[in-house]
Amino acid sequence: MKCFFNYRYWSYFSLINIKIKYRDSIIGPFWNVISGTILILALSFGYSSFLNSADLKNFIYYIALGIFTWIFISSCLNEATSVLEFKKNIVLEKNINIKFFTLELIFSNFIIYLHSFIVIFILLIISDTHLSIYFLLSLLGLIIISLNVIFFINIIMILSPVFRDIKKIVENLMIIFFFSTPIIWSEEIMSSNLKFFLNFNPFYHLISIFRNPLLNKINEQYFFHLSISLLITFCTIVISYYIDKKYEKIVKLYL
Amino acid sequence: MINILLENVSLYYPSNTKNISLRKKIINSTFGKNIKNNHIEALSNINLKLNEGIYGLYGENGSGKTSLLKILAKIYEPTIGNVNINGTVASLINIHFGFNEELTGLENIELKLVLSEVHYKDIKSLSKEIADDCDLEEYLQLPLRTYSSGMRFRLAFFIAKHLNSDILLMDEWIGTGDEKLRDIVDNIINEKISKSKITIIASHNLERLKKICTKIFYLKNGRISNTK
Repeated sequence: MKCFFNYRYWSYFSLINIKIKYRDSIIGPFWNVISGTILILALSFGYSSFLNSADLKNFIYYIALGIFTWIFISSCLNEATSVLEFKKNIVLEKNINIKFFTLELIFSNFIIYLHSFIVIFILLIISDTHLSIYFLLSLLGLIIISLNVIFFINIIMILSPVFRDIKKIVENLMIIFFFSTPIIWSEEIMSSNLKFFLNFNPFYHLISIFRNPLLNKINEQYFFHLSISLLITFCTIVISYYIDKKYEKIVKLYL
Repeated sequence: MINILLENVSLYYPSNTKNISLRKKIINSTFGKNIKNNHIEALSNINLKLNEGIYGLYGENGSGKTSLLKILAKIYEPTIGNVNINGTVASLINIHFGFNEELTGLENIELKLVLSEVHYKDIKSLSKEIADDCDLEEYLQLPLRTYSSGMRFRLAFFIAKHLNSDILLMDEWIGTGDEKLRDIVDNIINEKISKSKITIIASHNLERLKKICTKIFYLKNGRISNTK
């Protein structure tokens, strides 16, 4: 907790990270926005063959909300697998709380993610979606997603040096979850039997609590996603606490 | 009061190559197969009580000097035993730590000061002081990857010079090939030692340790074998 309030330090390192990543680039973090936008355009080109133009506009907006949020989550989790390895020359030379790297990682990815809101805003204007005041609930969704990502990063970051196959496991899981979560497809195309299985996908609930308010879909289903997301958050915190207790003291010895 | 107390401290490095796969661990736990955790004993049953003074840690390579310094720097927590340190610790185990190749010399100064938990209000003024002191002039605007090893040393050393603490830990005497710089470095090190309440220097150069240390601990296979 002390580490969290030391925000000047982890925010400084996050900004340094972004600076290094995009040092020789004029558009900087907008590179990520461009790659996400190209993916959305390519998908919309494919979907245009079986959707009419009105549906297509709304669907592109729906895809954009999911894809940019997914890029944020998956970048954080994939980078978490190697963060301690990259920071080895600090971790093994200085008494530093490794939670610091969790906050540094999520903050730098969050700043990059914020850049994508320009595209999301443009697509919102193009689409037929009329936002109500409930769109503010998406902020609550974003907070819950970020909280989960912080604890996911912590778990992956601590376990990665101990179990060397975590990197591959996370990479593969992220691909599986990308295709099994309604991001580039809509859950409405699923049969009710398959929809039941979708409930076991944590990213489905997490993305929905951010996306549904921005699609003006505040209904029973939204509150179901919200309660499951809170349950997931609780479980993630408990697992993260257990991993901390078991491995945090010894993780440096594996580097 | 500045002091260090180590009680029955042991440190084990994990060395099990069979247990580094999560997949295998899950399979083995499911089928009740228990893989014994192997480890290397880096330090064994160390008891130390240090008050103000200059101490030496002498031992051959692999005797546990650096591991002990890392315990004292609170980088590692002991596997067994207790460590109680009263006072701020600065470690010169590796003065190049935390540098980033892509950042300029000036940005690296700031980075190291932030890492060393210097108050953010003092960072700008201290950075300027270090920049003037290290005499790298226009090179400070260039990325670190363009620096020669001598220039890197100069930068790292003058940053370390400006960080004060109660307890100073050094792994081997900081040396430089540059003759002009050698005397400056020696003087600054002596000044740092005199400013610190407790100094611990690990080295395999016994003669040099005898010259400056009040007490020398002889380490062999992770144990203190002798004290003089």
